[in-house]
Amino acid sequence: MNTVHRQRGQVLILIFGAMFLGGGLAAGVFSSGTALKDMKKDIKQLDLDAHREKQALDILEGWKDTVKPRWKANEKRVDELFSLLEKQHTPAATLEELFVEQAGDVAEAEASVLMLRDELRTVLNRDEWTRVFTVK
Amino acid sequence: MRFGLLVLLISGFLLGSCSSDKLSAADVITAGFADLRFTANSAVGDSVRRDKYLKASLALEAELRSFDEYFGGAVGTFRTAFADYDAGQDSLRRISDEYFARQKDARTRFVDAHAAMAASVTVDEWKVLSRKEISLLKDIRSASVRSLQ
Repeated sequence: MNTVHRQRGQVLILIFGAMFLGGGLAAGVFSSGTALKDMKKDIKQLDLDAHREKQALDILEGWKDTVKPRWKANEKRVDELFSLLEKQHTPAATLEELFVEQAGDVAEAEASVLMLRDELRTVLNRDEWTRVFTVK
Repeated sequence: MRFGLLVLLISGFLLGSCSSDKLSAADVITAGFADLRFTANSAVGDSVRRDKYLKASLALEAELRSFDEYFGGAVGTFRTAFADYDAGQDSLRRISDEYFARQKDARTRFVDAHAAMAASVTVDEWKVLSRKEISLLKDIRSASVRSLQ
């Protein structure tokens, strides 16, 4: 039997696609409502005491609150980027400005998500963490 | 010309044989750039300008393909680290820092190739080709995001 665990793809979706904008590796965590819903369900199935369960669920909410507005802002930037690319003589510096702006946003989101990940690690033990973050 | 038709037929087969929302980014790149070059062959009358455009489009395709390959690996590495209970912020940051650096370089080459394509054609030719290119870029982006779900 294959014992390799597959990380839940839907949990770690990169919200910004590959090259065009953003692309923060951590910033996409919980980028979809479905993923968050699934995660909450998994947390609830861990049979944690009420206090720990609330802590974990609050962290997931914080995760969503961190990423969601940035996702929306990114979508606007992507639209702007494609409009600029469609113009024949958009200066490279104009595109670069957009990239830099986005990179700053992603860096902030990533820092927040990694902090929240650390918080979640203090709430869940190793076994609980594994049950939430991997699927057989 | 015969080769162009063949490529278009193959890309048409690729696009037609599976629903476009199931194609990988690599498939979208292959089919989309074949289609873009086929369009350029008929849209750009002057052979010197056409050759410049085609050459730049090959560079753009190579960049997108290279980054797409890297992207999949980076995501896998990050996901594994993220799921590792013992992995701290430092190890995750190392992975993403490398990713950002690679992404920055790739973007620079992407913008250079795109600018070379734009500079090689007339305003009217660009109207036709840019629409096609942007549509392709959007499809690649969608396929990349989809591959992570």
